[in-house]
Amino acid sequence: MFLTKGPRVFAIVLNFRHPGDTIRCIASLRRSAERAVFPVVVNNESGGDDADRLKHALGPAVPVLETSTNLGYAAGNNVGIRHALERDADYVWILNPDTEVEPVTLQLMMATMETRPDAGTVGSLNLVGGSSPSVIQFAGGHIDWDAGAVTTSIGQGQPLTSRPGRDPYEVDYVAGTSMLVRRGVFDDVGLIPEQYFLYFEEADLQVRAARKSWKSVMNPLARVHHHQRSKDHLPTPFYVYYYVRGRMLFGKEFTSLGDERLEAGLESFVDGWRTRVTNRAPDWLDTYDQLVAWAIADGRAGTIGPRSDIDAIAGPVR
Amino acid sequence: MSTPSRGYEPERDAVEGTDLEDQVFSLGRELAAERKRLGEVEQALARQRRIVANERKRYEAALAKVKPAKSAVTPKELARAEKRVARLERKLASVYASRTWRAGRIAWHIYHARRALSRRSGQAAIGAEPVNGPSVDPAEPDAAAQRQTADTVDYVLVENHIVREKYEAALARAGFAPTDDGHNVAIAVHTTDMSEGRGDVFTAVGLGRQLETLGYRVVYLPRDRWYDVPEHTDLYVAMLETVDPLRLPGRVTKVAWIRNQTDAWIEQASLHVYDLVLCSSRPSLEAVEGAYPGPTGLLPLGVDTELFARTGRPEDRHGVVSTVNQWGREREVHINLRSQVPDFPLALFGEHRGVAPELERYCRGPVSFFALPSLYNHAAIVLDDFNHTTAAYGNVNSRVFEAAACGAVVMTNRPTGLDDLDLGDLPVYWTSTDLFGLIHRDLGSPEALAAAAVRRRTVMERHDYAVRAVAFDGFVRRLSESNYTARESERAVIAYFPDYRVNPYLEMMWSGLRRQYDEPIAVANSLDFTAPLRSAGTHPGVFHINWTAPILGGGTTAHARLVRYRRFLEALDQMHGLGMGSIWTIHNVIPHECADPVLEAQLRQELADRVDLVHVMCERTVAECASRFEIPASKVRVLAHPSYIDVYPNLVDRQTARYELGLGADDYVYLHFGQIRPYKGVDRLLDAFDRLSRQRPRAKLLLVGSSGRFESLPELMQRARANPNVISVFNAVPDADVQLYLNAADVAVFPYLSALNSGALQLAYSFAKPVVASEVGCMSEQVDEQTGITFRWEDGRQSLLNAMLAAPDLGPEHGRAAYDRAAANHYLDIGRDFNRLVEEATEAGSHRRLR
Repeated sequence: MFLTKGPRVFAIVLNFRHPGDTIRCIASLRRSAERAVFPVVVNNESGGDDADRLKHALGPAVPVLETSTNLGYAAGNNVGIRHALERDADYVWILNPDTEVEPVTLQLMMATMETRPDAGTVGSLNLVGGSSPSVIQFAGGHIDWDAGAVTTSIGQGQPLTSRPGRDPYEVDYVAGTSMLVRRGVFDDVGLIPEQYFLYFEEADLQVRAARKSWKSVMNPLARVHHHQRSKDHLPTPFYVYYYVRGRMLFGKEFTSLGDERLEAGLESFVDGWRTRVTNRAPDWLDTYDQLVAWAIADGRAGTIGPRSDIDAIAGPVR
Repeated sequence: MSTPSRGYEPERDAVEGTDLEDQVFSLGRELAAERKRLGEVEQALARQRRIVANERKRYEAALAKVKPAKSAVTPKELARAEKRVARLERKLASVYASRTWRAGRIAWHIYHARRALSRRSGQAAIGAEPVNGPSVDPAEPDAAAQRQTADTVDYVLVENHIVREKYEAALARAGFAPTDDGHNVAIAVHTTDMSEGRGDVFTAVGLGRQLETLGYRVVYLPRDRWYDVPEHTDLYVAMLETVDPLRLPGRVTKVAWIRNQTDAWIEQASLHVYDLVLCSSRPSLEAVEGAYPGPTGLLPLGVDTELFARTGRPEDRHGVVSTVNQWGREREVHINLRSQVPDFPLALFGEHRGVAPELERYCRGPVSFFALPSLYNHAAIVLDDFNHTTAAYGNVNSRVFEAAACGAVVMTNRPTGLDDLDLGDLPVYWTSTDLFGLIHRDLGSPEALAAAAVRRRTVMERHDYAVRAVAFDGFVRRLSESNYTARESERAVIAYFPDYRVNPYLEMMWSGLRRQYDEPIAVANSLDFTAPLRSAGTHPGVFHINWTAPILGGGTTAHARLVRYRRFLEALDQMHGLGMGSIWTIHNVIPHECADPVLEAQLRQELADRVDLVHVMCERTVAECASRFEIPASKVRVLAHPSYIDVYPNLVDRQTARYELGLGADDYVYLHFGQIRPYKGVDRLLDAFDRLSRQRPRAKLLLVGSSGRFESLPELMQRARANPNVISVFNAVPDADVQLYLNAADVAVFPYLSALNSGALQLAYSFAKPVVASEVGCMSEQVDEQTGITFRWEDGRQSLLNAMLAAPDLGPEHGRAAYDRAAANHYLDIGRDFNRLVEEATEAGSHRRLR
């Protein structure tokens, strides 16, 4: 079955409380050289006038799908992915709302898809938004299974000039910030796993896809500018809890390592942030420790999905 | 050990006799075990042969592709394959020989042991003295008594005229009265002329007569009337693999009864068209089940016990007879009989084409089926023979049941299938030695006759056609109760005409069908219906007719158009006959450029009358069409034209689109998008726009679309190019660029002179464009003041200009309303609705099949 000639790409942007970011992202997408693109916005957690703002700004050409509550990254994007697959999408491009793409970003990623039929997921080189000279935020993901499923971002913080060449290269995973996924991956392993709520879901998807022989490939010439909101280099409660718990869950899912090994693998992450909190927001240290303790306990217990009491916790203040 | 149940109690020397009987008993068991093993070996070798034959076929097919010009030269590979077959055949022969030798030795022991017993008990020697058979009926004999020699025998054969007349009456029946009990059966046989000597007609009538006692009505169709299926037929039973079920009406339940030729049946491509396949033996059934997914059943041949019954006395039986026909290929029974000189009275009845000279003196010619009972009542031994198609599959012949029902001792050449019929103790010969040994043993043997009497009872109780008719009725009932689940679980098929899949319209309409339906089958403009007809016979489904223009349009002469007209309607009827449903989507009243509007209207009337459902895109369609053809109201289903939201990408914004097309932000842009054809009124649009652009220099006209071939096109193109405010693209636009023109435009213009539906209108709505449209066809319903401006050509040509001049008053709210209309007709929703139409039409087709 086909509706139109050529591949059909659906770009899913998950809006969460910052419609301005989403509008900026879609505006950059509109300048794309690749025009067979169907942009879709999922407004995670309807309420307020975000949806109206989005609809007004984007016009009827961009459907705004609304969810009743904050479904998290995976479930929110899955709303868009289902919408896309039902409409004969050949590729789904998951884009963070706080990104801007370059006119050729998608064309380059599509070129990799076409030249690498084994590529299930293609990632772009994500740059720190507004950085000049450009600084790499993500150039591919590596997973150290033995160390406790420790994930590391290749090239993070390095100048763009240090990027690893011009040719596409395989990685363990590409970041969910900007990942182009072939329809066959969803057909083979299902949609993005929803148990994490935040973080690790894209790695989980790609590890599953790899077991079905799908490769994750980075195209270093395809760039996305990632305007991260958190500028003061302190973690949010969401980040601390869901990252720590997520890594426990991820490790349990794909390795036979015990809880202790997985916790040991988290030490550098937990200690690193702890030092930073101690130095910059010492009042928040107890909260930080509490969040880490909850995350480890929940990770040990295999608790999945959102945890409601995290919402109520205030973030660190310098 | 005695066998009192068989009424045989010889006087004998108790001790020696008992020993010998024990020996006979144990040898008999050993023989039975050997027979079983031989059967297994034979089946294994038959499988090997099939594999070799298939390999050879595959190879030949491949060879034909590679070297078609050199087919006359025997390739080495073929020779190797033939050698392999020959080697396997030699192996088979050697296995037969070695095994049979052992079996023969055992038989020899049994024979001599019994002779010793007989001598001691003072009984007459084995082998009855030949006598002339007594007349059992005062009727005139079929064959005159002939001179008898020591090794030949003659029988007075008497026909059973009473039963013959009943058979003739059954065969004379031609049709059915209308009934609704589902009990009208047509049986396809080779011939209904009973003198042709074909066995299937007697089998058919034997079963049919018993079916009639169960309330069925049966007619018999000879090969020249196989496809002339009588009206009101419910069940069609094919007894020959040469019947093509694809040529049978869809409404009829089709039953195959495989009595022989199992391999040929399995290889038949349309076997799966049958609703039920019955086999006469378990090995056949197992083989068929590997090739046919539907319901199956075991229905062996049987016997008409009104005709075949024991009427003579045992002491009147004499000699050995065979009624095995030889139509060319030498039969095993004849090979075995000629291998030695028969030292017993022998008579061979039937066709004996190319019989060996040694046997000619025994040949008595064909015998009437209705005289066979008199023969089987006077023969001591009846020789049977599985032919090459039935041996491996154990399709037990009617002869076995018929002769056994008359109480004769029956000998056959394979044990396969006998156990399943409780006839496992039937004497089986493999070689000449076996055959002669068995004949010597059983000819005139009271023990053999006693065993035959037991088998007679078995046959009368279990193999009467009355029993078969009950079994047949059971299979048919289960079929109707289960409603053929195998068929339901299959995916359905959609065939379509014409092959316009470049137009996304068809994909949009079928978007709801993907789960249940296979990839749609296109009927090309050549009107080749082979693929859909084949599918119609095997799958439920629907034929979806869209634009009819190519039907007659494909013919350049009046005659060619008429031929195409007939071919299309005949194919539609055939698909209906095979149980397929049909939907006709009406896109226009009459094709816009039509060579023969009268014939086209006639074609449309025929289509409207024939199809199950007529899909229209607005309520007005029926009235619009009424002047040309009438659409039965009960068939009409209204489903709007789907919009193009999510079909064509819509990413580029107005500013970018205008920049790319060289349009200024302040320009007011009219768009005419879609194929340029005379009925679309583009010349009038250019007239109006020329005047408008003189008044409003910032007005621009985008004239975009491929152009059909028509006389005034060059002039039209020249005019478009002459006005600098007209941007014309007389080509098809890539899918990804459709958004450029739509998003650059302020308003879309539809100055159509005539039209029923417009996909371009839906496209404009999908891009939130207000419209200026003439009031024609469905557009009159679909365009109103909320979405744009309408005008009537009846009000003069100025009306278009006036509407275009008023267009700048249309605001974003009109665009929003247009988009909302498009959103209400999203292709996924229309596709889901269309799926329901397809299901309804499929159901209508299935009912037709069942009817």
